Formats: sequence, structure tokens, C-alpha cells
Amino acid sequence: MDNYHMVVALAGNPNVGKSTIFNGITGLKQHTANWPGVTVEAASGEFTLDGKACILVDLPGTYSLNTHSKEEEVARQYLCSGEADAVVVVCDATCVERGLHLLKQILSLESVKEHGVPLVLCINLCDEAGKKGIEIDFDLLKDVLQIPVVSCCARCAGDLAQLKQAILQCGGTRVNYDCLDFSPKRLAAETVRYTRTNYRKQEEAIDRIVTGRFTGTLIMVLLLLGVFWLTMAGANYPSTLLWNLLFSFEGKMDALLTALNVPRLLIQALVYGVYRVLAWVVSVMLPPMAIFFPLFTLLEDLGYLPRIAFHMDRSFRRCRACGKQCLTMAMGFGCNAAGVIGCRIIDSPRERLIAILTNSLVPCNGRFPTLFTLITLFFLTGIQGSFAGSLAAALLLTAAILAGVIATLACSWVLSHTLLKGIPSAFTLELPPYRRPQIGKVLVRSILDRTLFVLGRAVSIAAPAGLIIWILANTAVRGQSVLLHLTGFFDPLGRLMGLDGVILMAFLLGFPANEIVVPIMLMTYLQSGMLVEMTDSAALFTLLTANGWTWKTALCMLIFCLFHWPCSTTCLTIKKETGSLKWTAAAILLPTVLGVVLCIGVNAAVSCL
Amino acid sequence: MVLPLSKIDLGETAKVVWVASEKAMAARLADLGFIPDEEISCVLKGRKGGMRAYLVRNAVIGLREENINEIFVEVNPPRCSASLQ
Repeated sequence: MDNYHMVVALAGNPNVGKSTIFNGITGLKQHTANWPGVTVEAASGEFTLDGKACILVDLPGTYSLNTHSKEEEVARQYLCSGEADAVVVVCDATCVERGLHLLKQILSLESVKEHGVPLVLCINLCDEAGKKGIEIDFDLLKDVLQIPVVSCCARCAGDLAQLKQAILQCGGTRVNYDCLDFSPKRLAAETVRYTRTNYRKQEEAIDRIVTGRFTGTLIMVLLLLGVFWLTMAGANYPSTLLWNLLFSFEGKMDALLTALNVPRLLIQALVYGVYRVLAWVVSVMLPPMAIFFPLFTLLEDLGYLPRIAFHMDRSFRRCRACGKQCLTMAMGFGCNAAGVIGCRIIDSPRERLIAILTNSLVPCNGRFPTLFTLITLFFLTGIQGSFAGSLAAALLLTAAILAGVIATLACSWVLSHTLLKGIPSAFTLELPPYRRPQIGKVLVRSILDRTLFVLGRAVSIAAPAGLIIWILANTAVRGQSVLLHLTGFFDPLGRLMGLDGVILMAFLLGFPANEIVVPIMLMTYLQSGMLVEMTDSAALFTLLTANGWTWKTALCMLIFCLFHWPCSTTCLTIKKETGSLKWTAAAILLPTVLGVVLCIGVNAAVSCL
Repeated sequence: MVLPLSKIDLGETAKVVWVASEKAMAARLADLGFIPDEEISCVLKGRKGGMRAYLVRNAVIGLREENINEIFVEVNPPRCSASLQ
């Protein structure tokens, strides 16, 4: 840290927009959303202040520094370490009093008091407060607190410049806080004026509907269905377009490489091995993700997720789990590893373990494309591409997601009655005000950060995997290719589960990233001598049925895709979060056993019919 | 009259008198503003047996039924001198 001019820490209550300010100043991309607890560990980034390099540290949001939970401990320890040369206390303009309580606690920290660390109070979300008719007397705040007070709406660039200016001015100074004493309650009462007394009416009315007895569940399912329907219907056309475009290059590449006298074998490996799979990954995965992620991010930014947690808490309580598990579960839809880290918002160790162990029961980013593909290929014969088709696809996908949620609840129940016995602990759940998402930013962020990230991961792992599989398929041992030996080995178990050796091997090879399960499977089928012309997406269906697929195979794969071992990143994260190999093993075994048992059961049941 | 918070109806306001939760939860509740003399109101009642939400220090906080029963409040408190401020 010595190379930097100064280190500035961002502290504040949860969900006041610290990460948005952090992103705005450093240009980094910390994940932000409208619910408390998105940031659970301190993140740091560089920025320049008057030409000098500085460090900005984004601390997890805390209600106080009394350390009840992990993230509060992180924040407290950092502030006590004396590493920060200045602290910006971010406060929500609609909840000034709470921010002032935290400010007072920070001011009474030994390390802050003794070193006279300069503080800046940043009243964030002023635009929102303005709309609600909340007026704040900044001059009075400044007079009483004797520290710089900046009004800010983190979404406007000009305010951030003001904040930087304030940091610059107090940098390097030592402040004497001995004479500073104030009552947060009284100060808030004197500086904040509510000009509209009924500004909460509308929000309360909406809340009553979205958490209502019947309407709550209905809205939840309808929203899920709507998101999936838009994804399915919207992705159809661009997917075909991309497919045609990318596959039209195949022949040209072949011709070009032949003209360059590249050996035939290499052309085969590169064009029909690697390129074909890449083209498949891009054309099938990109369009649905480019629609699904922005929609999901919109819901996140709006503030709807805590309402779902509020509404679903009854079910989680019956399973003796924490209602906040609903939030970590929702994070799992984005990425299970992120969901596992997010489990830190759950204070009780027992309930946190339950949430960690069950997190991979909901499908993440990487598994959605597999679900999309299986559903469109196998369950919609005849109605594909029509309105009814996309609606049916959305229904099936919603059913799959609900199956994941039900499995999460069921496993939580089983865990809390066997391995992790205990009574539910107390917790509080803040329902943040609804915020209008910034559509443009959401689009850019979700497409760049999520869609391209997942796609990049898939492509970068699929390409070498394609090559390896091509080599395996073309290396013969005892008259048979290595690939056939391998798939033959897994075949008996695969058949028992209603799958086959190839699918099982694809799942095993997909351990580093779930995105590549289908590509690996396709590559393997293609290498087994079943080369088909890839003229359109129907070719995929032909390829699969030629390899003995029926709707039963697709159904079993759908189940196994939902319930199998977490990917390598998630496993490592679980190991890190639980600090125990035993619990990591449990987290791997739980979904795997569930998936295997379900697949065998479904296969047997269908065969009996 | 002192009542458990669960007896407060939607839209009603009351003043906290006493929080009987176990230590950690009481501390968390205190951070949020559930401390004696603070005014809170019930803004959301979900399904029976589900969570309820209260407006405290201008933020909406959801709590479970068993914890709501541990918070005791006073409705229509008699105005006692100027000690409020």
C-alpha cells in the first residue's frame, strides 16, 4: 500500500449504494443489486486523485460495528486496522438516522479517534429521496458534524467528482474529534423534513400484492414464466440466424485451409472438431443468455428478490432454514459459486451450511443453455417455433426451476432433521425501497459481465476439450478408439439412469464448467462416426436420435443436469467457505445422489409404462 | 397498555417498551432501531405464520413471528413532558 498516495474506505449501512459509488469511481465492476448483502467481502480498486494513484476499498454494508455477522467483522476489522487514510461513510438519504448511528460508532473507534482519520459523510440516493419529498438540511449537518458532507446520487457522474474533491481536500489531514458529540436521532429529526407524509402508500400497496397470500405465489410463478417465455420466444430467430451465418463459414474454412496445403487430418480436427463445436456453443447459447440475464438483472435491481424471500420464508421456516436462503438461492441462478459466497449473509452457522450444501440444486448460468436446448429439441415436436411452442418451453423450464426450488426445500428439511439438527435461528430481513432500474446500464452490465463471461468460459474450455476428444477418438488401443473404451466403461451406469456412457462422460468432463456438457456430448457423438450435415438446427435432433435418444433420455438428462455435482469453481468455493473437506464432500454427494436416484427411478418408472 | 408487537395491526403505530429476544438478536434489533421509545408501525402482514414487516427509522424490516412476540410495545403512549426529543 506504500506506493499509493492514500487509501480510502467506503463504509455504510447495507444497500445504500456503496458498490455503485465504488464502481463509479474506480471503473470496476463489482456486482450491485437492490438488496442488502450483495457485497460480503471487501473489494479494492485503484483510482486517481489529482494525478496521484489512490486505493478505494469497498466494505460490506453493516448496520453497526458490534459484529454479529461475518461481514460486520470484515468491516470492523478493516476500520480498526488503521489502514485507511480516510473513510467515506455512505448513508441513504431516505434513512439518514440509521447512517448517523453508524457514523457515530465509527467516530468512537479508537483507531479513528486517536489517528484523527478524516471522515466524509456522503448522503447517497438523494434523487430518490427528492422524489419522496424528503428534504435534507445539508448546511446544518455540516455545522453539527464538522466534517465534509456531500450530497450524491451515485448514478450522476458530477456528484462523484464532488465526492472525489471532498476526499482530496481532507486527504493527509488529522482531525480532532474530541469536541464532536451528537445524538443521531435528534440530528436526523432536525435536518430531515418529510414534505409528503403519504409517500410510502404506493410501495405498501405493491408490497401487499407481491407478498399476498395467493397473489404472492402467483406473481412469482408468472414472472418466472414471463422471463422464460421472453427468452425462448426472443432467442428463436437470432439463434437460427447465427447458426446459418456461422455454419456457412465451415465449408469456406475447409476450402481455404485445403488451398493452403494444410494436412487433411488437421483440417478435420480444427474445422469439424473445434470450430463446429464453437459455432454450436455461440449460436445456441448466446441469444437466450443475452435475453435472460438482462431480465434477471432488472428484477434484481428493482428490489423484487427480498420480497420473494419475505413471501417464501414460511416454507423455509418449516424446513428449519433461514429465510435469507431464498436470496442465496436466487444468487445461485446466476452462479452457484457466487451463491455459496453469498451465504455469508446468513448468521447462524447451521443454517449457512444448509444453504451452502443445497445451493447447487438450482441451475446456474452454465446449466441454463443445456436445459434450453433439451427442452426445445425434445418436448416441442410439431409446435417448435410457434407461439404455443415458446410458451410450452417456458412452462417446462419454469417447472424445472420449481423442481430445483422444491428439491432445495426438501434437502434443507432432511439436513436440518439429520446431519444439521437444530432449531431455526432469529434473523431480520430488510425490504429495500423499489428502485427504478437503469435499463441501459443493466443491458450493458448483464451482457458484458454475465453473458460474455459465461460464453467466454464455455468457448475457452470447449475449444481445447474439442481437440482432446478428437485426439481420443482418433487414437486406437486394441483396435478400438480410446473414446469408445471410455464411453463403454460408463455405459452400463448411464443406461441404468436412462442416459448413456457418452452423456455421463460429458458430465464428468464438464466438471470445470457446466457450459460444455452438451458440446462435449455432441463432439463425442460426431467422432463416433455419426457425421451428419449441420445444415440447420434440426440436424442436432437427427444426430441425437441417431444415437438412440428418445424423450426419456432427454428427461433423464434434464434431471441429471439439474441435480449433479457442482462445478469445480463451486467446489473450491465451498471448501474455502466451510473450511472442511467433509462438508465439501457432502455438498458434492448430496446433489449427485439425488440426481442418480431420481434418474434411475424415472427411468424405471417410464420403462414400466 | 403493553402488548407483544404481534398484536399490532397493519397500519398501526406503537412505541417499543422492551425487547426480550436472546442477546445476539436483541443486539441486531437494537442496531435496526428496535429500542425502547422508538416508534414503529406494522406495514406488511404476509400469510399466517409467515413474516411481518415493520417500519422503523424509515426502513422496512421483516421479522419472523416468534421474534415479533419477543418485542413488547405500548400503543397510544401518554405524552410525557419533552423527554421525546
